[in-house]
Amino acid sequence: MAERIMMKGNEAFAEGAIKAGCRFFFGYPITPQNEIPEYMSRRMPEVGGTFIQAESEVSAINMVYGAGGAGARAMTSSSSPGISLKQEGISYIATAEVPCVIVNVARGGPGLGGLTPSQADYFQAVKGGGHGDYHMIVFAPGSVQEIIDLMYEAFVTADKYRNPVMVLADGLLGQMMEPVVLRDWEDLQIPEKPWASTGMVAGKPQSVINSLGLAPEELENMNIRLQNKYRTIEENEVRYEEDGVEDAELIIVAYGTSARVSKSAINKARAEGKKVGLFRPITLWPFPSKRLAELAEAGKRFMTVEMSAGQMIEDVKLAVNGKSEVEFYGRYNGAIPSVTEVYQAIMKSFEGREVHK
Amino acid sequence: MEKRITVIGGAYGSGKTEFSMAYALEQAKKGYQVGLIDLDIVNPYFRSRDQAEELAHLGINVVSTEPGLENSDIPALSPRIYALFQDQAYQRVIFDVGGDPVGARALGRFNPYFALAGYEYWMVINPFRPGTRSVQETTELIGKLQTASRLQITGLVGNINLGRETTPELWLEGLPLIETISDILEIPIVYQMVSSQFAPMLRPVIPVKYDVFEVDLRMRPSWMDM
Repeated sequence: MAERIMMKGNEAFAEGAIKAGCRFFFGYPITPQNEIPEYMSRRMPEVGGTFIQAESEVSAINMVYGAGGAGARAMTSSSSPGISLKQEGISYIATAEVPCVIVNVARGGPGLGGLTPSQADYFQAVKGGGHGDYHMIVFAPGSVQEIIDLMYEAFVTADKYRNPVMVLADGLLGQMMEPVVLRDWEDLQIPEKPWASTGMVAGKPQSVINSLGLAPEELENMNIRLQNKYRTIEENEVRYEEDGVEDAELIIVAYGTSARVSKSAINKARAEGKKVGLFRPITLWPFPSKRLAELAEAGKRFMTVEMSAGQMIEDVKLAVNGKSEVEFYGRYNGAIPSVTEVYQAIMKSFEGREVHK
Repeated sequence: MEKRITVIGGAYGSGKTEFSMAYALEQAKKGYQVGLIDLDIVNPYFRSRDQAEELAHLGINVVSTEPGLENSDIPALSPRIYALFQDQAYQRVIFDVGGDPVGARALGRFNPYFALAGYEYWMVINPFRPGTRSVQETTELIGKLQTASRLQITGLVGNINLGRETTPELWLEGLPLIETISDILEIPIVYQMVSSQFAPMLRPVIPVKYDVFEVDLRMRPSWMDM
């Protein structure tokens, strides 16, 4: 069954999770994502699920650890400062290889920051905000429909690799309203999880969910296993979207709200005859480095547009490995770049270039 | 039907703020002195206070929280709200209330003033939004809004749309829900609100018995509909 409905991004995170078979939500309120727990508090009882408002973010992430460790599809959501509080739990979860989904509807920082949208949690999400050598898989939706679709993919991918998945959006994506198609996933089935810790059964080996590795060899082996898994994920799970990159001289690399604003600016610059394209990473980790390297080899130059002081630009620079220029345009402290500002940045990038041809 | 005080409420994302601003502008154009009270203490995005400066130029006094706290997450109400209640120089006072019963609760403390001054309480309904998609859930929401606000809903404002995917067929698909609610609860439909962008397409299918209220959407950046 598919139905059309006007949804806010935050409602889409929640309903998208329910449609994906998530039946356990643990969270603690923080603006601008409060509609997620609020929606879940109403919907979870309707579908026979569990909603718990925990006493803190630390408590909520550890409840996810427990429910995920018992094999359930479980999630939490928060916003920037709340996500910082969850980092210890995320590191444990990644190490214990417990599948779960964590939604970050990011707001302006650093510190307590403000309530307005931001993309300044990129480093925290993709480089490992907690301690140790681990990775979350990070999805970055660019529309309310994509929030719904990626919530499903997030739970499937988490189970597939026994790994935490973060869905990272800025506050505006959480608050904006768009028409969406809400459907039941026909292939929805939660895989068997023989590793899950669900109590002792005679004849069944004991399942242990743990992140402790006191013996050095044991700990190194665990890390080698994790790293091998991350290489497999890098090989198989990269997602991105391209628009007009083939003939482009300049490629704007942007995700989420920045990509939406950039798209309008690119159309405007194209109308002026400038060859500009859009490259939108959908997975921020694994990052679409290979494809960006190919585009750099093909002679394209790049500009990242971010709602931060410039974070993803580091990954773009690593990907192109000095073979191409990488420029930056950003607004931060919770500000959203305007179409005009991005357009002007694009036009400026073309200044004085055409004469050399 | 028009009273000095009009309260605009409803579910989250039903179109309350867009309607409140457009209605305030219309009243100002008619020559009334208009005050718009942004009572949304639930959600810090897409609020009428974001447009306070532009609206002031158009003759509308927007009262929200105390200056400097506009972007805070503090559920604090300005004492200037009482001034608008009592200052008869304001011929039209419009309350733009936060969504759902949690938003409507902020109205409760003003109960003695509403009782004294009289009011209209209009509920904006989009049948394509969560929470108002069936007669049952909409009726339940109305009950909860009335309990939380301690006011009676006196009018319905239809806001039938699916954003950029709105069509005449879709508008007609959404209409029966609002008409049924109006019939069952005996609450009149005061307006059918349509985005001015879609008005030429929708007007031909809207029954003539309805007052169509055209709204220039003010809160939505253009890139959102690319």
